[in-house]
Amino acid sequence: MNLIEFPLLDQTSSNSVISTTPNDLSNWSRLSSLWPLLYGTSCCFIEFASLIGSRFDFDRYGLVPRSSPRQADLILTAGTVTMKMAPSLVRLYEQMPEPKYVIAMGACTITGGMFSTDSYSTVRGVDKLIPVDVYLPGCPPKPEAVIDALTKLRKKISREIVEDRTLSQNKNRCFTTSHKLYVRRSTHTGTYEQELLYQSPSTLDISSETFFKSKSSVPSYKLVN
Amino acid sequence: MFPMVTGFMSYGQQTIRATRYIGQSFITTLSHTNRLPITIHYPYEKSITPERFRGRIHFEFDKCIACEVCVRVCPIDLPVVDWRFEKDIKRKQLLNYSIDFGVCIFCGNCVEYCPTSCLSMTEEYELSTYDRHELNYNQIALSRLPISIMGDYTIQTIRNSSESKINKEKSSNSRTITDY
Repeated sequence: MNLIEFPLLDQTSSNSVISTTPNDLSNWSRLSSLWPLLYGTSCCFIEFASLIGSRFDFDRYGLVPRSSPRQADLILTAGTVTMKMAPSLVRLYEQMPEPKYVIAMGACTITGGMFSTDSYSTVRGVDKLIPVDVYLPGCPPKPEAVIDALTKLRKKISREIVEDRTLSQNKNRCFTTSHKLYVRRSTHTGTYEQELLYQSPSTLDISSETFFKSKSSVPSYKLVN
Repeated sequence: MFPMVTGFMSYGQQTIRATRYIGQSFITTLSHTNRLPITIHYPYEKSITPERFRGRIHFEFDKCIACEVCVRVCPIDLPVVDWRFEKDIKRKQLLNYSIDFGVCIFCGNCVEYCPTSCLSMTEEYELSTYDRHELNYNQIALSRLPISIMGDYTIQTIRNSSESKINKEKSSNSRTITDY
């Protein structure tokens, strides 16, 4: 059956038979054309971009850089992911067609790295947002180390079974425990600020009131997580 | 009649100039034909890391005196030093030591400041794993010696061009010193 699919192989090796399962065949085709999304937020992308060049040429592995998430299979989260960037990263991931793979590149995207202790804006590990397949430490990792991570990802893809993937994806969504956050009413009502404002012409008063009203309408729990 | 002659002359000059430029650019293009391909076929060929490359940290358990200097100089207080004060010998005894390479930024401050030089940098950089908790190395994993790239005969090593230049300069310098 498969000899019909590979007429060229049949010519070169006449006495051999290639036996495979549809699952293996789909895995093989999948791992040999991983198209990464050009996603980079900071310094790790410099190392990733050097892979595009001829020295560490990653086209050898069938990786063609893509600028659109709709054409990409793989996303290397190169660089620090901040709270502000997090929604757009999740959106980019959601826009990628199945099957999709994630490599967390650099210390910042694995755990937060050097921002893990006292930063107010860094996401502590990109695996809180999207499921990660391979973790690649380094600050930033060498281009060779990126290729090493890719070979490990290829190894993972070659082993996987199609039915299992969807199950594991829902299970390993994030490693953290579910926090019992509950929505509170905002304490920033803006009324105490008005006492500080000295009594002024009516136009200033109205403008400040409307300003605070518009601010308090933004729910505060959005900023918490 | 006269302007026509000058016109022809200027046209001829322009043609000569254009051919010269095209020739020059083709010489530049053709000079690349005898260049070798520079792609490093990574798993089979590996470039030699620079002399002071900061890779995985190597740790020697017996040398450590549990002074916690590495924790103090670390920008994120990363190394976990677990020790107990032994009253009979009046000394701190190290129980456990671990560094999480998922957080480590490989700055090398701990190596720089370690008083007994029990920490050192290796040239190992292939640390990627499927689980991020595997990146937390304890003292046994940290004390594992890295496999040298030079020793592995299945891998071809490639010397960096800049490094070889430096070596050449070094050798020329040493020669002048010996001549003196």
